[in-house]
Amino acid sequence: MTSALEVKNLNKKYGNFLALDNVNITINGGKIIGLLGPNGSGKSTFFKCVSGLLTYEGQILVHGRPVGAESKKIVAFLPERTYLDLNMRVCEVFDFFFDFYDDFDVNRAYELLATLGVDRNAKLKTLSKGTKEKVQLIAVMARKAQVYLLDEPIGGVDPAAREFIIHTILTRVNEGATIIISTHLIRDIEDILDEYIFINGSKFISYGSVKDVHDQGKTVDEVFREVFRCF
Amino acid sequence: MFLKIYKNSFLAPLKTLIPIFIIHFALAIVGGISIKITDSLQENVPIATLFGVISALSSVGITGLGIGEIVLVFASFRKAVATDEAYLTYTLPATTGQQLGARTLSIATWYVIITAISTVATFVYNAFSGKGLFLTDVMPSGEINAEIVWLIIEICIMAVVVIASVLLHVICGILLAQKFSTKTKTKSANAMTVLIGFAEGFALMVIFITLTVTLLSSGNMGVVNASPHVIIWTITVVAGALGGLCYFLSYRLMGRWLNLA
Repeated sequence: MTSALEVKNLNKKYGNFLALDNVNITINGGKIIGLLGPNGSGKSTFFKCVSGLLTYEGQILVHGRPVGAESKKIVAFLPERTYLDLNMRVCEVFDFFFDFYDDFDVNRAYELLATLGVDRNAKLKTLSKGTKEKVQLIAVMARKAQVYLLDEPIGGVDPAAREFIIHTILTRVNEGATIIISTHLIRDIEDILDEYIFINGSKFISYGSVKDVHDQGKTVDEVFREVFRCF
Repeated sequence: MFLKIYKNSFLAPLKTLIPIFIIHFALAIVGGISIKITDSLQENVPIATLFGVISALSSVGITGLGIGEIVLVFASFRKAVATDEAYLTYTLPATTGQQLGARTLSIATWYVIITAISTVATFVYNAFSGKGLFLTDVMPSGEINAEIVWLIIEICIMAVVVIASVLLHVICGILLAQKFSTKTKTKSANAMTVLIGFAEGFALMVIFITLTVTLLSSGNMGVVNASPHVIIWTITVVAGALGGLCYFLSYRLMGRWLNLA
């Protein structure tokens, strides 16, 4: 059985700065994984390499496919910024995704939109920051992808919005899919994680099961604070 | 996937361009009528002057809008590949060839449409001015024979190659600017590279237009002591080679050298 994500000897440099240093990891399917690390540790860079937004040295296979047009069919990436054309209406965004992605479930998208109470004909630029981010999340989660990469989906939004996002991730994900969520708000996300990866200084320093941490009477948040203690 | 990208990139600037096209034609009508009024009210100097100014401003407006329209099309391309929207563009399940080819073709399509609209607007301007169409001024002088027909065909081939090369220069300039902006993070490097793309592209266009007008009106090259066919094919080959280089660079910038900040 092919792994959901197989990374071998992944290195990424921005000029002389080494953003990812010899990353080797194999992730199996059907898990929700937290990619946890401080700011600037390489989380977004990792996601961009897997999504095909950055060139890199090494090998990345997504369900056996090298990064390219074929892997992009099964990878859904939610970046940490607003990346949709703000002049588009919500319905136009969904039409766009429906046009380009065979796995986009437009009914699912409108179901989720209905829970937000957002008019499908509203232009994105008229929506609040939090609502824009939710619309972006809906567009990504309405895809029946095999790998979801969510970069800081709950950063910068209010607690109610965070709850909506986490609920959406849990209930709307494609069965058997792998979700990798990067965040530094571990307490909010810990309850839904199956596994965690700690990343620091461009290196993947730890990969483990959340259940194992809980069996030791600890939380992932506590372990994170121990590992990344600044003083 | 190629057709989907072509359709989306073609439709992207449409909502912005339609009202500008309407203003374009409105200005042509206003300008033409103003000239007619100026000519008929020569004895009333203040009124004639006023409408003369209106017609002059309309002419400037028509030219400016034509340039502005093509700039808007390139701005739409830049938005898709060099701003945050590039995150959406480059995560689409498409190859580099499909992305670049489809977007280049949509820009070329818009170029043809905008040229046609500008030409029709000019005709409208002249029609409303009462001065008639100016077609006879640009027709080749002398008898039309096989030599002239062949020359016109060669000029048409050169036109297509030069225009394609110009468009590819600007596309390459935009992509290079995006590359530089991720390295240097300076707006000046960004702007400079786009300007270089535009400048080089339009320089080629000026050479082509000058050559075409010279050939059609006089049938010889004047200062340059060479056969018109040699000159035409030299420019065609050089423009084609430069355009090919720009396509190759653009392909690399959107593919193997892609690095979105």
